[in-house]
Amino acid sequence: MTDPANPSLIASPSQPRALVRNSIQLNIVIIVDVARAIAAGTLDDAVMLVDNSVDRDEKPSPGRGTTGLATQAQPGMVLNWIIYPVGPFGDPVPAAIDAISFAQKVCFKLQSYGAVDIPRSPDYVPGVTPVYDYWAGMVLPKLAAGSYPYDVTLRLGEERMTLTGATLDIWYIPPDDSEMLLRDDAAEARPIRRVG
Amino acid sequence: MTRAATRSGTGPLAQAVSTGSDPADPSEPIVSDRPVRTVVTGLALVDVVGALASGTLANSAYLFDNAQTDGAIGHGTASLSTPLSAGDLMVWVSMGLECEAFVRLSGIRIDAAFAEFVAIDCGAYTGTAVVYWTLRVLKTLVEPIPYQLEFRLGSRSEPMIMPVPSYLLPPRATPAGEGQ
Repeated sequence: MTDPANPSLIASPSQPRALVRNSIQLNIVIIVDVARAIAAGTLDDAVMLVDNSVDRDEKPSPGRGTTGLATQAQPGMVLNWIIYPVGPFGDPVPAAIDAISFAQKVCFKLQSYGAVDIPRSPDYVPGVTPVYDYWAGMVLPKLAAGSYPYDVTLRLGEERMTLTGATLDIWYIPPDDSEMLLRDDAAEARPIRRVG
Repeated sequence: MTRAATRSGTGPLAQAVSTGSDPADPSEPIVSDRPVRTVVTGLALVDVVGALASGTLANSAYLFDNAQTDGAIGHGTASLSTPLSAGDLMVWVSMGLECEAFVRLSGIRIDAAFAEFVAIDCGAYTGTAVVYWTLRVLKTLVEPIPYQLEFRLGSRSEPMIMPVPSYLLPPRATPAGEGQ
C-alpha cells in the first residue's frame, strides 16, 4: 500500500487529524494594572486574561484579552494560573493570586506552587524579595464536559479583590472517525481512519 | 527462556496499542493470528521552540528507545537504529521539551520499496490527543530500512521532518530456533 499523497512512501491506514491541539499543560496569564486597581478600588478595566489554548477548530479560546476568558481544556490537563503585574520595570509589585474557586470540584491539587521556602531563604524580606509563585491544578480526569465558571481572588498590597467571569470549557477529543480518500491511480475509494 | 517468552507483547503497552489492522474495531488487540514478539517503545523528545525558531529539527530532536540491550544504537541523537525481528512492533511517541508547546508525531516516511518488510499505522490514546505511530516488521529484514519521523509543532501548518533518517536493523544473530 502506498501513500496516495506520495506514492513513493508507505501509506498508513490511519492518520492524525490535521489540527493543532492543546499541549498537556496550559498557561492562563492574569495581567493586572495594580496601580489602577488599587486607586479605583476595583478590578474593572484593570485586568485581562490570556491563555495559550485552542478550541476544537484551532481558534484561540473565546474571550482572550478580556476577563471573560473561556479556556479550552481537556480532562487530565494541568493548568497554570500566572499573574503578571503591569508596573514600572524592576519595581517589586505586591500582587499575587490569593485563591481560585469553582462552585464544584473541577481540579485536583488546585493550590499555590513555588512560594518562597522561608527556611531555605532566610534573607527573604516580605514585599521586597521577588516571589514567583503561581497557582496550578489538574483538571479531574473524568470530569463531565461543560462550562465551569471560576473566581480568582487577587491580593494587591493589603487588599483582596475578586475577579469573576472566567470559565473553563471542558471537552473531550472526538473519537476516531473515518473518511474516504481517493486513490491517485484508480476511482476506487479507500477509507482512512482519523485519530487524535 | 527465549526473548519471545520474556517479552511476548502481553504487557500493558501491548494491550493499549491498537495496530489498526481492522479499522472497524480499533480496540481489537494485537494478538491473534499475527502475534507480536516484542514491543519496543521509541520516544522523540522535541525542543519545539528551538525547532520553530531555527526552522529545522536539527539539534532540536533527540531520539530514544528501550531496546539498548537488543543492540539499538544512537540514543540521544537524531538518528536511532533499532534491531527488530519479524512480528516485532515499534511504537513511537513524542514529547515536547516545553510542556506547554504542542508537538505531535504526524507521520513516518518510509520508501514504498520496503512495503513488504514493514507496515505503519497510527492511533491516539483513548480520550486524549496523544498520537502514537507503530512500525510493524512483517518479514525478517535483510538490510537496514531508513525512515524519517515527521512532526507537527506549535501552530505551524507544515510538518517538520527529521533531517536525518533513523533505521530499523535486521535482528542480531540469535541461537538456532529462536530467530525467525
